[in-house]
Amino acid sequence: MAQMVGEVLNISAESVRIVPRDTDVTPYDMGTLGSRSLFHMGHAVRLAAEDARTKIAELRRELDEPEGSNTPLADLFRKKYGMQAGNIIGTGIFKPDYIPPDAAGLSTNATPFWMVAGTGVEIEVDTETGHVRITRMINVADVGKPVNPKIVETQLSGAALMQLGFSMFEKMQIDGGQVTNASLADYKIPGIHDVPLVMENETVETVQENGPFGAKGVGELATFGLSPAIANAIDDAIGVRLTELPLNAEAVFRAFRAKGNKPLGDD
Amino acid sequence: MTDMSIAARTINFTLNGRPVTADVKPHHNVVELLQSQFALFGARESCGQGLCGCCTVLVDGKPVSGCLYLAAFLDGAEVVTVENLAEQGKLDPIQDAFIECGAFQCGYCTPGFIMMSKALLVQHSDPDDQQIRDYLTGNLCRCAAYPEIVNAVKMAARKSKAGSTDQT
Repeated sequence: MAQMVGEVLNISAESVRIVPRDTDVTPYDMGTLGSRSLFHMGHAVRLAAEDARTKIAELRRELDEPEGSNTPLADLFRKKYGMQAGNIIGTGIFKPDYIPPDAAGLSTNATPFWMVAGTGVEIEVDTETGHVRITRMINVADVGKPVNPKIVETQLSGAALMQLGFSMFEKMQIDGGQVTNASLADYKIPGIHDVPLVMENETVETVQENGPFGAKGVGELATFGLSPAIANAIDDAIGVRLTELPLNAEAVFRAFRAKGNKPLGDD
Repeated sequence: MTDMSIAARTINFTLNGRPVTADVKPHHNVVELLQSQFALFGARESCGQGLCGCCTVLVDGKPVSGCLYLAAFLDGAEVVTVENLAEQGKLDPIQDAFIECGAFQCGYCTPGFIMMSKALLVQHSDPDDQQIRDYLTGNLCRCAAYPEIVNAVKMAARKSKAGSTDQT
C-alpha cells in the first residue's frame, strides 16, 4: 500500500506511514476471501492518493504557484493561512463491478479477477506404512504485476506449505460438536522438517488490466494445485485414488490394502 | 488466612544486561513476568504448551520456552530477550537477515525464530541446512516462511563472520 501511495504522489514508500488497523473501529465485513486485499484496498488507496494529488494541485493553482513548482506543502499552507495550519485529506472508495449469477448459475462478471496456478510434485510412498514423502515440489502461478516481488514469492511458498499441511495431516476431530484436538500437540501444522527438500516457485508476470497498477491478489494462488497434485502422484505411484483430505499415512495405507483385497478393519 | 503457597517471592536476575528485581508467584511463567513487570512483549505466548517456540528467550545462554519456564527459576540467572539484540539502534545481523530475506509474513513467530537462531549461531557459527532445520524444529510459522528463514540464518552467519572479521 505504501508503495502504491508513493507511486501516485511521487514520494518514497518509506515516507508513507500506514496506520495500524483495528477491527474495533472498522465496519463489519462478510469475511476475508478471494485474496482481494491488494486488489480492493490497492484501488481504494490509489484513488485516495490521486484525490490528494488533485487537491494539492488545486491548492498550488489557488496560490498562483508557477506550473511545475515543487514548493513544500508546509510552505503552501503557510502562504494560504498565514500560519502553520491545514492539511490535505484524500479519500477513495472502491467497489468492484459484480453481476450475480442468473438462474442457470452463470454470470458474465462473477469476480474482479481470476487466479491461475499449478503445482507439480514428485513423491515417495512407503507401502508398509502409507507414509508419503514429497521429494520435489514446483509451484507456478500467474501473479499479475508483482507490486513487491519478494513478498509475492514468500506468499507463494507460504501458501503452498500451508496447503501441504491441509493436504497431508491437518484434520479437526469433532465429537459432539466439540473439537477434540484443539491444540498444537494434537493438531499438527507444518514445521520446518515438513518442507520438501526441493521446492521451486515460478511466477508468470502478466498485467491485470483492471487491477491497481496491473496487480492482482496472489495470497491463495499456490494452494489450488497442491492437493490434487499429491493425490494424482499417489495414484501414479501405487494405483490408489484418494478423493478426501487429508492424505495422511492411515488414509493411504487403508486405500492401498483395500486395493490389494486385504482391507483393514475399522479400529 | 493467607495461603502461603501462593505468596510472592522476590527474585534477582539480570535482564538484558541490567540487574533487576521482581516479585513473582510460584505459578507465574517467564512470559507473564516479562510482559507484566518489564513491558517486554517480544516473547509471545501462542500455544502455551512449549510446542511453537514463539516465547523463546535465552536463560544463561540456553533457549527456553517462556510459557513453560517458571519465573521463579530465573533467580540468579542471566536472561536475554529479543529486545536486547539490537545495539544502539543497530539491528543484530540475524534481524537484518530476516528482513532482507523476507523471512516472515505476519511476524508473530519471528522473535522466537530469531532467538533460537541466535542460540544456533552461538553454537555453530557456520551451520548447514540440517543443523538449521534441527535447531528450528521446535519453532512453528503458520505463514510457513521456512525456506526464507533457512536462507536468513545462512545470511546471518555470513554477516556475523564478516562483522567479526571487520573488527579484527
